[in-house]
Amino acid sequence: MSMAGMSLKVEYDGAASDENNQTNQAVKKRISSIKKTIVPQEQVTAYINPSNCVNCGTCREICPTNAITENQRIICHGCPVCTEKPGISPQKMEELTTSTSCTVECPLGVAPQGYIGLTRAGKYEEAYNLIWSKNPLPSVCGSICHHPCEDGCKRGILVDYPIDIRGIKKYLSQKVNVPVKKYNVLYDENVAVIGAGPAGLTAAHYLSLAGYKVTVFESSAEAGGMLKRCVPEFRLKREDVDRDISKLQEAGLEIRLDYRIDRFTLEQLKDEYDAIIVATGTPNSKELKIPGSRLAGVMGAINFMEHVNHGMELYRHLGQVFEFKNGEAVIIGGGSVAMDVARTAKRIGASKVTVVCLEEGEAVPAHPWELEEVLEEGIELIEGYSPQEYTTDVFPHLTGVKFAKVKSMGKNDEGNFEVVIDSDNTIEIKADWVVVSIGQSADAWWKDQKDDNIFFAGDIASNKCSVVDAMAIGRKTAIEVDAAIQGRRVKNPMDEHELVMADVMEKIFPYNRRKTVRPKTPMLDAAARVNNFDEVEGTYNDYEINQEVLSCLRCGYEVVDQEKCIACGMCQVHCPMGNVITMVVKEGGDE
Amino acid sequence: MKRQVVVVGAGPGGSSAAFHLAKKGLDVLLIDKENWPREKVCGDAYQASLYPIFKDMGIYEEMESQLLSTVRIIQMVGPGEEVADFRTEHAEWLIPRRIGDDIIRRGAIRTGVDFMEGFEATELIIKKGQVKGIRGIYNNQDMTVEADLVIIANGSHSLLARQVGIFNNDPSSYLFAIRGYWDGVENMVEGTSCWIYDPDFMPGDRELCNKYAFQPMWIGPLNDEATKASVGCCVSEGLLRAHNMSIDQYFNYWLEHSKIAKKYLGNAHCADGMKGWRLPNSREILKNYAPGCMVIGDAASCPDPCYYYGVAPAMYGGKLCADVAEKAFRDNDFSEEKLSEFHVKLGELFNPAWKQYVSIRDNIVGDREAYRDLIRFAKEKPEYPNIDFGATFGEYMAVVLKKNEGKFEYGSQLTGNEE
Repeated sequence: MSMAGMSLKVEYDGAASDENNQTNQAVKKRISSIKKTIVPQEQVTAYINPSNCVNCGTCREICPTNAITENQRIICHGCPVCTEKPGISPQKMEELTTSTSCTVECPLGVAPQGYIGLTRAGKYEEAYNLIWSKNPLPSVCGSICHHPCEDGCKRGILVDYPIDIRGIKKYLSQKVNVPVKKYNVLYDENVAVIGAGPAGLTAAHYLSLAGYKVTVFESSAEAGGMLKRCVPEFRLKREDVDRDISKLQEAGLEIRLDYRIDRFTLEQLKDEYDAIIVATGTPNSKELKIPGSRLAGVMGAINFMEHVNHGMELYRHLGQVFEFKNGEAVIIGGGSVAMDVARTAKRIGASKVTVVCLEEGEAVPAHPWELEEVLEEGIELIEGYSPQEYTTDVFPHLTGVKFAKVKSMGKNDEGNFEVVIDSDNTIEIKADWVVVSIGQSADAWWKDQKDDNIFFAGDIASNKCSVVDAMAIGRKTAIEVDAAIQGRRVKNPMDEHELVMADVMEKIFPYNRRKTVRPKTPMLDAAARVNNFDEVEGTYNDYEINQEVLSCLRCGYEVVDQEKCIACGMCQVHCPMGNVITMVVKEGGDE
Repeated sequence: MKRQVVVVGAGPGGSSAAFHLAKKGLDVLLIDKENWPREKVCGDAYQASLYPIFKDMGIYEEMESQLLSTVRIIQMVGPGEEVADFRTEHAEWLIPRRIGDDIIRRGAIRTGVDFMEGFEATELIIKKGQVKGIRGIYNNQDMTVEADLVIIANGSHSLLARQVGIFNNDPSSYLFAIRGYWDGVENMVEGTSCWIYDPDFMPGDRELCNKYAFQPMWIGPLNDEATKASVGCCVSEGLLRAHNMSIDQYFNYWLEHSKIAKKYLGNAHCADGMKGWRLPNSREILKNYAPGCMVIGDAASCPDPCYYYGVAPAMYGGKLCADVAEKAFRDNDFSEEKLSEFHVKLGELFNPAWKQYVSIRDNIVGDREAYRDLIRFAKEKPEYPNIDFGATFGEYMAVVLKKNEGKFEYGSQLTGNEE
C-alpha cells in the first residue's frame, strides 16, 4: 500500500494522486463485485460504522475526494448526574466539541484515539504502525513528549482525568516489535538532511515515506542529537532512542555518522542533492554576560550534560578545568532543561542543588509535573531572582553567585527583553560550580546560507524547543520540500482537519461510561531515584493498559459524505480495524 | 445462561414488567447494575394512577406506610406569580425513590423472579437482526445471557435502546432536571405541592417559551409540617442554549429573581447539594419495540410531555408488555410485527391524554392571557373530582382552550360548561 498517500497528502493542481498496483487491484476487484451483485457504482457509497470506528483518520487522509470528515460526539454535561464538576451550558459544550480533541492537539497529527482504539481491539501491531506512519520516534515520545494531546482529552476537561496517552504510546513502543515497512523510492530526486536529531529524522522519515531517497548527515558518532547529548538517562533510556533509530534504518533510511557539514561540503551537497534540509538544532548553550563568566566552575547546560553523559568528572572547556562532581551546585534558569540539569546534578553527587530563575509562580516555564518531581528530589527552587555576578576568593575558582530580586521583566519599548531589578534586595548563594541553562543558540554561519534548495527545520527554525514541536517543524519542512520539488501547492492536511459536531443520537453520557480506575503511572520513589540514573517513569503492565484504554470516551468517529463519495473503496482497503467500513446502497437509491 | 425473558433494569418499569411476566408463568431474569436499594435522583412522586398496580403487586400497604406526605393540593403559580390552588382527592404520594423503588422491586421478586444485582448490561446480542440476549459485566467478569425476549428498562441513558435505534432525538423534548432536599422551608401549607409555570420568569421571550414547552420549578413537601421539601426544576437543552446558561445557573437565577422562591425558600438551605438527571419525554408514545426486544420507561422516552411523570407510563408499560410477551411466547414469534402490538396498546392508553398536554404546551405556555384565564378559572372552581391530577388538569385545559375551526379560543368559556 502507498504510505506516501497516507502520510503526505499534498494536493496536486489537477493531477491524480499516487497509484499503487496492489491497492488498485484490490479496489477493482471490490468494485466489480459490487457491480455484479448489487447496483451500479454511482448508487453505492461507503458507510463507516460509528460504533466500531476508532477514529484513526486513515480513511480520511486517504480519501481522494475528501468525502470523509471527523465527527465529534457531544458529551452530555447539562446536569450533574454525569459529572462531579459544575455543568457547562450546552452552547459552550458545542464550542468545546468542535474545537478540542486529542486528534487535533498533537502537533504531529498523530491520532491518539486511533491507537487507543486499536489497542483496545487487541491490534497492537496496527496501533504501532499507525503511530509510526506519523511519528518516527514512538519510544522517545512515549518517554519525554510533553503530551499536548492529553490537554485536549475531553475526559480530562469534563469528567475526571485525561487518558494517559503518552503511557499507552510507551507501552506500545516497548511491547510491539514488528518489522516496519520498507520505504519505496518513487522519485529520482534525492534530499539531504543535515542533523540526525528529532527534527532531522522526522523530516527524513516523511520524505522517505513520500518516495524520495534521503540521506541524513550527522556530525557526531551516533544519531539522536539532543536526545543522546542532552536529555538525561533517567528520563529517556538510550536503548529507547536506539530502538527508534534502528527502525528507521531498517526501513531504509541512510544515516552517515561522523560527517560534519561545513561551508565546503555544503557546496558539494548543493550539487549532489535536489534539496537540503538543515536541522542542526541549537547545539550551543547561551552564556550569561555578567562579570566572572570565565571563572573555573561556570559551564553551560549542554556542555555539562554532555560531560555527564560521557561519564566525565573533569570539565575542560576553553581554558577552564575543574572537577564538578561534588560540592554545592547552582543552576540558573527555569526551563525544562534547567530541571533536567538540576536532577542530574543531584544524581552525580552534588551535596546541595539550588535552581534560581527569573520567573515566579505560574510563569516558570518548566512543566508543573517537572517542578513537582524536582521538589520531591530535595532540590531547592528560588523564584524571581536575576544573576548579577559570579564571585571568587582565589582566582580563578568560583565561590558563589550574586542574585538580585526581579521587580519586573518583559519587552521594553525597543522590543528587547529587559529585566528590572531591585538592587537593594540581593542574595549570594555559595556555589562550587554553576550550570547556566538559559537557552541555546544555533551555529551562526547557517544564517548566511540562503538558497532556494535549503530549508531549515527544528530548533534552528523555531523558538519552541520541545521534542514534539521540533518534530512537527521537521514534518512541515518535509511537506514544503515535497511541494517545492514537485511544484505542488503547499497544503498541510492538518490545517484542514476540522471537527464536526455529531448527531444527537451519538451523544455520550459519561454516566454510562466506565468510571476511571486510573492506575497511577509507575514511578520510582524520590529516595530510590536520586542516587542513580534509573528511569524514573515506568511502563504500564498488560492489565493496567487494558484499564486505561477502556476508559477512553471515544468522542470521535469518521463520517462519509454520500454526495462526495465515489465508492472507490480505498478507505475500506486501508482501514486498520478491518470491519468498520462497508459499501452500501445510497439512501434514496434503487434497491 | 439461557432464559425466556431477561429484564434489564430493576426500577419501577423493569420490576413491573418482571412481576407481570412472572405472573404469566414465564422464566424471568431481572438484572440491575446497581446494588439495591439504590439512590435515584427524581421528584419523588408516585402518582395516584399507580395505586391499582400497587394493589395488584400487593405492595400498596407497604408503600403507604413509607409515604412522607400525600399531596392533595397542587398550587399552580402562573404569570406574574399569580397563585391558584387545584384541590383534588388525591394527587400523588411523595416517597423517596430509594425506598419506594425498593419496595416495588421486592414485590416483583416475591413472585419468583430471579434477580441479579451489580450486573451491568453493556450490549445486546443481535443475530440476523434479531435480539437474542445481552452481554454484560458481573463481578468484573464478562457474562452472557441468552433470551428469547429482552425487556430494556435501564433508564434514560440506555445504550441498549440506542443500539436498536430507539432514542428520541427531537431537541425540543430534551430536558435536564435537578433536585435537592431543602430544610427550613417556610409558608408552605400542609399537603400542598407547588408547581411554578411562569412564562414571565423564564428568561426568554414568548417564542422561546412556546418552542421549549412547559418547564416548571417545583416545591414538594417531604413531611407533614412542610418544613422539608424537594425542590427542583427541569429545563430543556434548547432553552439553556438560547441563554448560554448551565442548569445550575438557570436554577440560581430563579432563586434570586422569583418572589415565590423568596417566600418559600427565603431562609431554607439545600442539605446535600443539587443533583441532576436527564429527563426524556415525547409528544406521543414512540416506537418502543425491535425484533426480540421491547423498551419501556425512560429508555423509550416515556415521561409525559407536560408534567414529566415517568413512573406511571413505565409501570403500565411493564404491565402491557407482559400481555404482548405472553402472546409472543404462545405463538413462538418474536418478530417486529408481533411486538408492535405493545406500541399500539401503550399508545391507546396514554396518547389521548398526552395530546391534550401537548396542546397545553403549544398554546398556553407563551400566552400569558390564556394562562391568567386558567388561573382565574381555577379560583372559581376549586374542587376537583378526578383522582389523577394529570388527567384532570388536561380536562380543565380542554374547557379553557376550546377548539374552534382550527384555532384555539379562550376567555369566553369561563363558565366551565363544555358544549
